[in-house]
Amino acid sequence: LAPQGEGAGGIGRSEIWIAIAIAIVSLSTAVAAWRTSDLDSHAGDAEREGLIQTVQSQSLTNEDWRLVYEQAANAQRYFASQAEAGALAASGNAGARDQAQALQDYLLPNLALIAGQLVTNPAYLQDDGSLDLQARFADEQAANQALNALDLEGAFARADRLRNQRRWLSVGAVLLVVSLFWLALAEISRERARRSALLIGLAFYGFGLVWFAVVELGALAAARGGV
Amino acid sequence: LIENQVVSVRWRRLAVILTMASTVSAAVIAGLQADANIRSETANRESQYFAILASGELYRQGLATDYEFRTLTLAVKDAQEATLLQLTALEQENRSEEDAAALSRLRATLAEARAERVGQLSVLLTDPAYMPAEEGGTPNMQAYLDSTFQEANRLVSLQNDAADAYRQWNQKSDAYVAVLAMIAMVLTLYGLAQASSERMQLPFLTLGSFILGLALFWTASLLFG
Repeated sequence: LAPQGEGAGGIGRSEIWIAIAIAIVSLSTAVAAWRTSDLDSHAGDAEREGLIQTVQSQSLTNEDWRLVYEQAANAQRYFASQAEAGALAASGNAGARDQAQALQDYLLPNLALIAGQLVTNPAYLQDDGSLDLQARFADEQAANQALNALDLEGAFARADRLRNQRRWLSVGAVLLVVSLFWLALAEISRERARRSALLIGLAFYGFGLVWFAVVELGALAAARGGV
Repeated sequence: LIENQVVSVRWRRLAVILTMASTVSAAVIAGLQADANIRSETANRESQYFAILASGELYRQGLATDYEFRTLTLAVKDAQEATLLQLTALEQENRSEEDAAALSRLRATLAEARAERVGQLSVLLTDPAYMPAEEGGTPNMQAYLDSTFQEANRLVSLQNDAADAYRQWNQKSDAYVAVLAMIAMVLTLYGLAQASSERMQLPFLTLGSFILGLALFWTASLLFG
């Protein structure tokens, strides 16, 4: 760097080397910018996927609740008819008892079919005669394969991980830009100032590269560890 | 002449130091800007997430309220029907219409059985928090509505908090971009100070430092404000 050899057109040798360094750092900065933008794009995709899955999950949950309350309304008709049949059977009237038998034999089984598990599965009937709709809903959710196939928490966790990686890489990209600035300064400076600017620029560049490598390796390890 | 050159070298050295400080500031502020941007995006996502959950909860609450009120209406209707049929049976007995009275009593018994069983299915008639304080009274509808709205209100509150956080971080992110633009101006001025003649060095350095001070003050107010 010290004594400057003059090349063709009066350009110093150090100026050529600095220009080459600027080109390399520019290329690295472009790659860093691409990588940061790429991560942002992937994080956005994961976030959109998470939100779409949230909408899907909520739609399926809404459908499960609708089904549970539809069954509850049918169960209500069943229990009302059952109570009616019980009252008819308990009356002293022979005709009423026959009617009760007809209800037991024909109407109640058909109503039970419509009402489904809230009537047929005693697990949903509580001691006070009320229905455990929350338990019925929980079982509907557990049996809902489409709902269980969704992984919105995973999508959001992936988005967070990628955004976090982008956060640190953007700092690395700034280090490269700073390096570029100092190298440009070295190109237009002279003698000792040039040497100082070049050294600072190269130091920033090296630090930026190490920073990038550490962030990328850390993210890779986190992804492999399922974080 | 030598003295002028010494002063010029000093200013140049100061310019290099200030440039170095500005570039480091730019790096830190760019990191803060990226962080604010990421926080605003995350808050925006959370706001949308809670809005979806709140809408789902309102849907569930609609179904539940509809079911409970329908059940209560049925139970009350059957109970009133049973009372009316008992009164009818008494009138029929007074008119010595025994067969009709027996039929009315049977129908009253059926209505009563239905009312009792359907009443067991309604939280408005069985839950101590809502059930009528006295026999024949009305359930505490306000307590029921307050309780059912609780979850939806919680989700809407979370959604509002996330929306506020999004607005706050988005404004900070925009402000950091403006600060970075100011630092770009500062770097230009310091670069000019290093490249220009000794007479112009001080004005460029002074102006650059003034803008850098403003930028740093703004950054501090964004960080701690």
